[in-house]
Amino acid sequence: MGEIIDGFIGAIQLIVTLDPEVMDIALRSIQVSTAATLIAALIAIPLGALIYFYDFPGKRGVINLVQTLYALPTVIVGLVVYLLISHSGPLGFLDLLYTTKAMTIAQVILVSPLIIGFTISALTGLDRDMKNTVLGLNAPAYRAMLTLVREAKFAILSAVVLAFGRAIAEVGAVMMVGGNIRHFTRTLTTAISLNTSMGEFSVSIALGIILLGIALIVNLGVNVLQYRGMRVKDD
Amino acid sequence: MTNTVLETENLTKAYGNKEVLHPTSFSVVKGEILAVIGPSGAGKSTLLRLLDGLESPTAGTIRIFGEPFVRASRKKIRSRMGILFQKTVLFDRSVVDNIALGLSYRRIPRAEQKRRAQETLAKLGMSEYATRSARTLSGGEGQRVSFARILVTRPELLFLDEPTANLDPLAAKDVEEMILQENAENGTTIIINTHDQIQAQRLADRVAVILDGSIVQIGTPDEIWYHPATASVARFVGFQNIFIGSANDGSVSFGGIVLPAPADRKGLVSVMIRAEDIILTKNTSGIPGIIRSLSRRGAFVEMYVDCGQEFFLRIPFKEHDSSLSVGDSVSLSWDEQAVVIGGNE
Amino acid sequence: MKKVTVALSVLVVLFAVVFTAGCITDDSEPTELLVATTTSLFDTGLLDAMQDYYFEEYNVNLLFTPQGTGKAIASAKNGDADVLLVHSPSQEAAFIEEGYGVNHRGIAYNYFVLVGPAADPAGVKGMKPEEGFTKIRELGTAGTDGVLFVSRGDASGTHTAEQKIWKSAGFDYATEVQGTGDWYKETGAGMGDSLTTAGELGGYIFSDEATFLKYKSNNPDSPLEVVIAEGDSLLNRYTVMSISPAKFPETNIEDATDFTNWLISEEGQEFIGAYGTEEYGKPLFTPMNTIADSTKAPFNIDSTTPVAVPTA
Repeated sequence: MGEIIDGFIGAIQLIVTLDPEVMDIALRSIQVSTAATLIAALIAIPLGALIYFYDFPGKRGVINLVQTLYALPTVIVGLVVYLLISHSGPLGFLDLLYTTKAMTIAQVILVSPLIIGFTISALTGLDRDMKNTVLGLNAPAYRAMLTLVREAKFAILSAVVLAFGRAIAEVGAVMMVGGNIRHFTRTLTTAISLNTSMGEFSVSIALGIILLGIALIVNLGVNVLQYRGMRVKDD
Repeated sequence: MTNTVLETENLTKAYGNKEVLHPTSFSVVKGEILAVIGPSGAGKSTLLRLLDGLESPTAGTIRIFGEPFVRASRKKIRSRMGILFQKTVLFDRSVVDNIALGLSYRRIPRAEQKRRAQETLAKLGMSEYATRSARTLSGGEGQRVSFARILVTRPELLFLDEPTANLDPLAAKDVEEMILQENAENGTTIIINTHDQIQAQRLADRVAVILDGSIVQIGTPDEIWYHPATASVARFVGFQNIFIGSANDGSVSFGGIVLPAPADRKGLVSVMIRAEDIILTKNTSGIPGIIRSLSRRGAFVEMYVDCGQEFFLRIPFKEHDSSLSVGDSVSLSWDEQAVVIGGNE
Repeated sequence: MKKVTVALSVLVVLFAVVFTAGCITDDSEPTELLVATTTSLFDTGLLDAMQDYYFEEYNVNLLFTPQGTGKAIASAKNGDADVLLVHSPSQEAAFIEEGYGVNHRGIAYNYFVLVGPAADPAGVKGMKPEEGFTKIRELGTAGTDGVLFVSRGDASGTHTAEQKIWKSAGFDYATEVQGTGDWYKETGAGMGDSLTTAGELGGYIFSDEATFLKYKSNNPDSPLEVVIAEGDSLLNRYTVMSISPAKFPETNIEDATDFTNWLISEEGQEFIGAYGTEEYGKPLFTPMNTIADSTKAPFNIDSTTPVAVPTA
């Protein structure tokens, strides 16, 4: 009990005094996950729109696969990326292992299916006649998709925010490909894991509070977006 | 020949083994309004979705503007046509941007887009709505804006799929006016699906009746409503008295009743008379019968009269003789034109 | 036009984020040296202190990736490290034998300890390591209440040393220790985590002294205490090796050589020797230069001759 209270007091001190080590770690986590989420969104939203827009054989199967990948275990992503970018791996020459870039790549892979899948369901949630109207207005395919994505923007944005939440809370993959190197690739989650093994509970708790704070903000963001989306539909 | 805007030949659609549109051939000429009517599920929507290219036919061909309407030509032909749906589709942007959407897909300068959209809006008398969010429009306003979004692209051929089905009568009338005005001013060819027969009569130059996946009759409103080709068309357009008779040498007989018929009719035919076209008298100048039932339905009195065959009558309440009651002997007569002799099926 | 501007600004923001994220790794001025190391060394905090110091003094970033010795060696074999800092003589020897490692030098030592509940339910306090292990096994396999042995089970240096003791006590590790009952628990985790587990379970655990001291200072209420600290087999020797540029030409052999020479230098040895005295009352690691001749048994390692970049 004393341990928890001491840890908590220490944690508050670390946060209030903006402890450079703690801030460094928090900032890195946010940067890596923001970059990963934006890159994933840039890839996944158009991909989701393409899958929604075109009919092709096996479409149902592709959507099922994407949805299965929502639950892609982070350690598997970590393993695959590690094997690819290890210096003995096929992409070893890029010198990515133990860098924030490697962590970003792993997170992009991790959250892309989520954004693809949610983009498809957001677009499917639009009125079918909306797609037909756009087609009827003879829009070029990419313009048609752009118009529809814009109509589903609140649902898609909340998927992106959710993806950020998954990225920043993930530990397995960034640990494997980032190596948890102090000042370089240490993130909130890997630092919590490490400091707990080292018995530095104050730091763990401080980082945990920050992570929870981020999760809270993310959740709030999703709620606001969904509320706005709903209000637009109601009108 | 050059006047033909749209033409189908043996157009067919099947989902799996189920043929929902049997081979259909017809054509539409420039400036014409064709209304397609039929009960729901008969294939109206399928036909329209094939014609506007949202679905591909299983067999048969469509030619639009003299060209086969196929994948390769779809873009080019689509740029000259427009589609309006039953459900109002509004995008989450201003009214004027909604109207300009179709223009924004064409290489038209932004200022020109705005100008044309504003102009169209002014014509609708909705100029003050321009900057409002489209989501704030009422159902009728929304559908007019949806329609305007298509008209502003200056289509030569319009497909309207039940455009007023979700609207109240007043709003529906506004949209109907837009349809007639567009047709009158720009000579736009229009194909409209409707379940509203009165609307079809009001708007259409010609009407096509679809029953069970086939166009069974296509003709002027007069032809459809007063000379249905078959018993089922007659039933659909409101004939209640339909009998099977046998025609020969200029007459037709059914259930002991003999009426004149065109000389070229032979064999089994349908004999069809509208309920409101039958005249009931107490004298014995017509076909004798006995009133079997009598009831008031709003402004009308409906009766079944047994003349060997049972006839259904609908008489305006004001003209009804209130001394009549069930069991009375009466006689029935009608104008010769009221009797339609159609094919048997 | 407006849309283009929006799209452009999104791209700019995106690249800004990626770029600044990248900046942290790609600070171009200082060089980087990737050091695969063991958790027992890392969990003490020595390496954090060393990282800061070395960067200040020599403008080289030591990138420590803490892992078990087994994994550290495996990643070094993949070319994913420039330097190995480990403590497993047999694995080190094999690594050098296979041509992966060069410039092997001893840097420090301390002792492994057998740690257990203060109550000492197996009654092994003060025994020789082999005797203690035998007794715990005997009581454990008999199902004696409260007698547990927690093992790293992760092919780390500590785990290797533990296995060596089982072997010299006369047991075949794979058949007579592993899987012989609930008494023997493998965590598969780092030293710190395994100590926490042992503390929670009230079991015996084989640990390096430094990590245990650190653990104990963070968990003063833990029931764990040192029960066996004497015995030749308890020597825990830490060594440094560079990855052979013959195997991996792109390895940072220059900085690796400098780092090795710093570690065995007066300055480096002093740094290691001083670490922890303030906090724990005694050094966590004893520098190798306190031994007159480390090439003799039981150390068997050169700890004084400066190394040079190997020539091909």
